[in-house]
Amino acid sequence: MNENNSIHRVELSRGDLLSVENPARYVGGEWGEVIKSEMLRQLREEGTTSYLRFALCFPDIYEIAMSNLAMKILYKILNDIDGVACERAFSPWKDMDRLMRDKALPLFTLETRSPLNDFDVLGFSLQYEMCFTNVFQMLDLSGISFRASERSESDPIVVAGGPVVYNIEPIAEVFDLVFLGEGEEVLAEFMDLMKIYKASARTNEPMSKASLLKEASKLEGVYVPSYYSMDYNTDGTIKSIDTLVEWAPKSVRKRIISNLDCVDFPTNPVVPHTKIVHDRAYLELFRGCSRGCRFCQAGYVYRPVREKSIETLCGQGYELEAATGYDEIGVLSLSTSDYSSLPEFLDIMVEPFADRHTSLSLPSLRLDSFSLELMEKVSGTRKTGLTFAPEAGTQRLRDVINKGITEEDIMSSLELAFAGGWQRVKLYFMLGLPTETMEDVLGIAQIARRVEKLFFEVANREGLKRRKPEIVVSTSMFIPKPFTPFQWEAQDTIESLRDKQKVLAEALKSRNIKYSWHDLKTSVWEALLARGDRRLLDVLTDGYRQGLYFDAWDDCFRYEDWLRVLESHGLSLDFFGARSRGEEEILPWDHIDIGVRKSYLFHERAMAYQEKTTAPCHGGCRACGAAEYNTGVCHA
Amino acid sequence: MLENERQIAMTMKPHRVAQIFRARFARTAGIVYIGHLDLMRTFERVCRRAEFPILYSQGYNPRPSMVFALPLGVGVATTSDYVDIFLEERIDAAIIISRFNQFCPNGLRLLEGGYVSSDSGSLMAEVSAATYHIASPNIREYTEKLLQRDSIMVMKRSKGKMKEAEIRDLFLEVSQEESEPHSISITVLAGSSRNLRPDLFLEAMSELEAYPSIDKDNAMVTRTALFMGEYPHLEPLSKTYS
Ligand code: SF4
Repeated sequence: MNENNSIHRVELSRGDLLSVENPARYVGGEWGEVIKSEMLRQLREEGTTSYLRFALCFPDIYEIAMSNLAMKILYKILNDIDGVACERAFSPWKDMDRLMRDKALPLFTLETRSPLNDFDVLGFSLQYEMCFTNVFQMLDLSGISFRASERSESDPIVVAGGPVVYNIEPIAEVFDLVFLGEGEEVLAEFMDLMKIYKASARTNEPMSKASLLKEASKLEGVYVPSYYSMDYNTDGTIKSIDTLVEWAPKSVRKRIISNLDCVDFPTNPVVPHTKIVHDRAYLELFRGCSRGCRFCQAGYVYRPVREKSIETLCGQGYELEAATGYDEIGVLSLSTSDYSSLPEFLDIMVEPFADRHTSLSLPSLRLDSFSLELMEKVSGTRKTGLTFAPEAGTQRLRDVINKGITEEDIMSSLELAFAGGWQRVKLYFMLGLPTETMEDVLGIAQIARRVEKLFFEVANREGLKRRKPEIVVSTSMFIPKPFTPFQWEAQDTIESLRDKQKVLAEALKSRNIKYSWHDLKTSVWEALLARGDRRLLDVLTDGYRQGLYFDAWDDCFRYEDWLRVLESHGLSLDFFGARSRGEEEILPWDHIDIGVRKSYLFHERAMAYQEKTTAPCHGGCRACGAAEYNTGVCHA
Repeated sequence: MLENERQIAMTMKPHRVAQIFRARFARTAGIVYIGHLDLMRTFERVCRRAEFPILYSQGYNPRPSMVFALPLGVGVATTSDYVDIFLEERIDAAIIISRFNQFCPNGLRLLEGGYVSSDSGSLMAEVSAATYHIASPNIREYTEKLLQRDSIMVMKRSKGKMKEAEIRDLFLEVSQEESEPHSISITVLAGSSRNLRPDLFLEAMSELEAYPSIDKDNAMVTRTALFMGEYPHLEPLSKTYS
């Protein structure tokens, strides 16, 4: 398909492509794709290029990867830099994976179909723990060693970023360096260093990888895993985290963007040919969340809250809609209702969009009369389902987790919604939260029952006879995450959770209520990875070698096999999951600094046990530590 | 309340007569590997980016009004396919073509087109035959052998079930170029009533004549013409607007 035979290109035949599910995953060429023509010319004519080649890697399949906003942001930021060419590479699905292994084809980028080995940098965007093993898949298919220490000077630099890197320890030693926090600025700074590094390779005194890392480690937000070592006690807990070079900081601080109006946002992202998971354009309202739900990692690691100005937002919204041709624009943030100019924003955007048959989707909206009217406005006459996430069944437990939503909030907004003709309601809860009792579990059923009763009351009153509510109750298993007040907590066991599910299912029995739950085994394994330490790397690579990957896919995840591998390494699940940690224990991520102090998290934990809530910080600062970034809500 | 207002607004909307722009398009390169639904979505987005005054369908979930002549299979290229784009107002054909091509992804291209009257038949119903160019080793010899048969029975999926079907009578013409010894063009019945998909033809050759399956899988298939009318009086669809 390409006339440039001198360019190193992975060739797939028509037969290859037609033999796999959805070949559109592998062909690239979408609207918005960036290919640097000057780089192609150099490669064609000189066989080499002065461009810094960056392979932006996402360890999951196309449809997932392309739905991710961080990927769109980084793709733009990198390609906007002069002399940098960023291309995309994703996990090939199992059918293509098999084909590539059979035919000894290396993993390639979509833009130029170049093997990953041809790149200067491989940058992995890590969004969830269960994708760790697919990092190995991508490296393996590229013939690149898993451990940074095993790679040579000529191998690509392998880096990572994304929300799970705040505890990257289970696979930290894979990466030459890790970007903590928001990447827009620090990546650009790192690219400047890379240019020097790459240029020096053509001189008599090439810069070594070691000196590149040393320079990079001076940038705020850059963590070099090989600068730290971990020592363990006989009981498996960490004895100490030591720095191995004198210039390594005791703790590495995450990087944030202080002013979101000053960084570029992708208003012309790649528009896939094929349907992806979230097939819409995204507009980011703000970063961070000040509510402080105690189970939520995002609520702490993205602090402080920083908003985009309404001017920036509207401008980007129009550009995005025009440039992509999408008929749905989704706004993105951790809590849409908290955006201070939301009413103005919608006043400005909704009508012009409606005229162009473009809809706005507003996820994570707190429901009240205002938002109901809003939803009607943005989604036309479509009465799609309403979603609530009370997370816990009783007020007591909601106070423990600091989820600022009351049963009355839910009932009063549902009363309005039912009267307005809505009939589908989804309720999300967690089971296994700290301090949970059976009373809390049954509280979930009580809420669902109340919702059911309310529906019929309203229907009778409004004369909406013969209509029925559709109520879905969904529970997931609580997973203690690093950098939350619950990072010290024990996770509930599968056995106990099963009992709770059984009791709940019994209490929920009704024609109008459906109960669904997440796979418990997945949650237990995710919990292990989330709070794991460096001893897990051998476990994970070993499991990968035995064919265990695509763990994020329920039908691929093999829990029993993983347990076997874990035990063969002398480690136990309960050590990582069902064990509560003491205040003094050194946690595997203690050398990482997200701005929020550990002492603050511990204080919040104490508040949880006292069943006391903490109000959101836009009502007054709680002195969590993030004010040191000198920006956002802390300085409002 | 809100709902009532919307209903009133809808009924007050003046009834518009659609301007139907019939375009001939080509697709090559990577975009041949997308399915028909994805291709439709891609066309919709191109038209939105190009800011054409597209007419939207009425009802629950309004979509841009567009009709394709004949779905293209995954992996099939085309140099001559047709789409009707329904517009609220007439725009110069040259402008439509150049703007479309400016906003469409690599491999997709509008070649020509013109307006057809709104009472002309539906594009889908007009299609009666199609020509496919197939490039693959020794395809000529095998085609000749296959077409010597009086009956060609193949397994065909219809309504989810595999069923045996006779395809011999779907073949209309076979032609070949001197300069391309390893390719062939077949003209076959096409459209909503009787239709031969090129992969079925290749399948039959592999089943009945033992055509090597690696060649079958890698054959380059390109639709090169779509016709209306009854054989042997076929006329290219482009006749409808030129
Ligand atoms: S420092 Fe204060 S205002 Fe800033 S995020 Fe923490 S609690 Fe909120």
